[in-house]
Amino acid sequence: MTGVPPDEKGTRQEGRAGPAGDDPRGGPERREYASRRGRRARAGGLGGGLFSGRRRSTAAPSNHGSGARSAGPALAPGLRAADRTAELLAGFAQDGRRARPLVWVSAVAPAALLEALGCHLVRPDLAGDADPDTVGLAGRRAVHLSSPGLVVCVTNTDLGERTRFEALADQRGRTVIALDTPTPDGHVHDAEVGYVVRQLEEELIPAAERFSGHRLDRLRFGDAIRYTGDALTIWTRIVDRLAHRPVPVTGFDLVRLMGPLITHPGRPETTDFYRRLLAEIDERVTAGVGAVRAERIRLFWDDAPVFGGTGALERRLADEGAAVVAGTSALAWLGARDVLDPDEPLLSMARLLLYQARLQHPQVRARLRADYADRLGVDGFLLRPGTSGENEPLAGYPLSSHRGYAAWSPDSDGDTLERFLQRVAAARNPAG
Amino acid sequence: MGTFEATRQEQQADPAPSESAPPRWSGSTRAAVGIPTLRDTVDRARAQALRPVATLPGFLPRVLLRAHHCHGCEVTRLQGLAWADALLGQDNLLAARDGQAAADVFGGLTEWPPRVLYHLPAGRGRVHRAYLTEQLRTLGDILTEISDHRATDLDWHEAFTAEGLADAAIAEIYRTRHRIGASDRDVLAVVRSRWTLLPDDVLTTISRLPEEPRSVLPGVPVVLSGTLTRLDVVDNLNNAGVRVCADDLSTGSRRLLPSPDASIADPYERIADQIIRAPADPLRADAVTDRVARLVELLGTYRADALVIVHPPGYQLEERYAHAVARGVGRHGWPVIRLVLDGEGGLGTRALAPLREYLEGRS
Repeated sequence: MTGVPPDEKGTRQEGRAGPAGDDPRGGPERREYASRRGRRARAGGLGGGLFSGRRRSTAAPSNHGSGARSAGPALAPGLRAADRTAELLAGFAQDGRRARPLVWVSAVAPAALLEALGCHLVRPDLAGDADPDTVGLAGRRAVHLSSPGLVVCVTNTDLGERTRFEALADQRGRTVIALDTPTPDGHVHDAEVGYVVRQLEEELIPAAERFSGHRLDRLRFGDAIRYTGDALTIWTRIVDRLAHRPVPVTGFDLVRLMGPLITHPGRPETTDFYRRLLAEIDERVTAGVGAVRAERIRLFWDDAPVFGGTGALERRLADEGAAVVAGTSALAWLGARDVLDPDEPLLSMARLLLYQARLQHPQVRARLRADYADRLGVDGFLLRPGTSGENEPLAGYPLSSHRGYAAWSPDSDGDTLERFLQRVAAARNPAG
Repeated sequence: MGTFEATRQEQQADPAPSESAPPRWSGSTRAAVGIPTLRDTVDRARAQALRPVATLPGFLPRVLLRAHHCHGCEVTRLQGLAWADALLGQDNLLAARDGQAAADVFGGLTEWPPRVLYHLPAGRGRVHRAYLTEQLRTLGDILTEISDHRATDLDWHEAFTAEGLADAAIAEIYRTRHRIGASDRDVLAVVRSRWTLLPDDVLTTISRLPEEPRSVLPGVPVVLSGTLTRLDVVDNLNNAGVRVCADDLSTGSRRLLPSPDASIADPYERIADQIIRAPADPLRADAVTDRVARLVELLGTYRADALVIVHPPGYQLEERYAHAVARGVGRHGWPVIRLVLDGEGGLGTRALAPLREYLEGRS
């Protein structure tokens, strides 16, 4: 996910952030990074490491930045709205270059608040290994990155992401604001909401105000929360459409389309983007068009956001008639609208952060998975390998929580994806 | 703060601690130094009218437990906990990485003992201190329910005194390591026992460590940082040619609390203050710079020649930071050797190669 589109050569030109966001060391600090694909492969990511044998070297990378996927013979053409993702994010990036300070944020972050503080947000996709030098942006072969002036992350979501943020900030001498968002029992309680509010008030806002040179505009903040709520409402409706057969949009698509909601949820353009996306999905539902042309298996992707390299997996599944109808990260926001109140933006921000963080609680995740597996008519689960899903206690989590659903992960001993799909298909249609 | 319902069925069925699940560091070290067993400790706690509580690795407010007539025994596995009146742990995501997510493990348990989760703030500012204090108050209320005893002023005084003496004795071990005639493994075993034994037993165990002052201990002095699951790894390090003059281990000095600030009247605030001032620790999301500063201080204070970072393979909590920490310490001029344990937690010839390379380079 990123707020900056690639240029025509597939490189990212992102060195013109505003004065406050510019690296004081100037050009030499900016660097061109080598192939992301190779690093992903070394890191064992889903796209690069485990399925690389089927990956076409010329395939367009799948990521939040473009929002689009390449169609294959078994896949329907990508959504028009997906093409607009890049356009939208490019517009945000253009805004960001107009003297706005650059802030790197983690996948869960107080985006609406930072935007109201006049910050330009970029959510970098940090590489999977421990070397902070390998930081890059999603799915690009080579990237330029401006050093942020501030790094904001949440401590209770993704350990790997947080530590990479910290290491990177340490390397570049930047300040990290790590917000602590506890949800010990998987619920959001007033004590924790108050704790997060105090962190926002006493740590993040003063730091961001110093950094940006702007005071928090409470009115703008309230508006951002309102737009965030609107976008979340529409997102929930989009997820509802996943119950249709054939599924009009895949879980992979949804991950790619989450970008604007992560970094710019408080913008009217974002709300409008999702409104148009919903309309396009409804067109598909009405016309009976499925994202996978011959859908015969419906899978749940128990994912963490993957910002690149899922295209090959998606095509491989589609070739087998398997549609990934949903993923955990796409469900993270469901119900979040209810915790927002534009008249109480700070409280809303704290509640939203905790609401998202609670998804790390295994019982919450298990309940969410089970509920939606039933609701969406899922036949089986795809689990991420332990090596690339360090924030997801999945491989070790008892699959009994999935009520007997078949599940497969690249860690599954002696089981291939093809065998798993055959097994699921046979269970679905014993006579066939 | 999270609590979970549980029944007492299993506890009734098996009231004694299971010797089939001893702490990992049991073995020759226990016999050599005379560390009481878990069963002994539980029996002795009950004899002192203290409720035994199983605790997961992490920052445990031992004073808080004792003042509420409880005693914490650290466990590394969750089988055979029928001896415990409760299971206490941090919800901290990072602690969760150790083995399985603590919350994950908690979620998998449906029977005895009742589970209590508290949150160790990932930060050390005023906000975190205030939140931690409230967490401790809530935890105190839960412990009151478990032990049916509310802490009195006298309880607090006794608890601060007893646990403080044990902490001070452990700290003294580090200060006087060069005068202790025990192996590194035995010394670290005694330090680990702090998280299970009664404070009196900690003092007794320490008193058994032999004093055999030597002018120069063999081996290149190093600071050992990271996480060990087996203490025989320390023997491997010794055999390779280094000695541990100080540690920054997750079960060692990282967890040592500083002395309580007697000027803080409220006992909960006083404990929170201790925890907030504890050494930099990845478990607590401390900044890399703070961790580097602590390691550099240890290296200087104990006149070490190098830092050795060791951790199990894929153990995110250490692994994720290792690169940045090593680079930070390296900037201060100290060599840093990273060793990754094998799948069983051991340190074989292959895993020791970076250390041997370093030692050969010195010679």
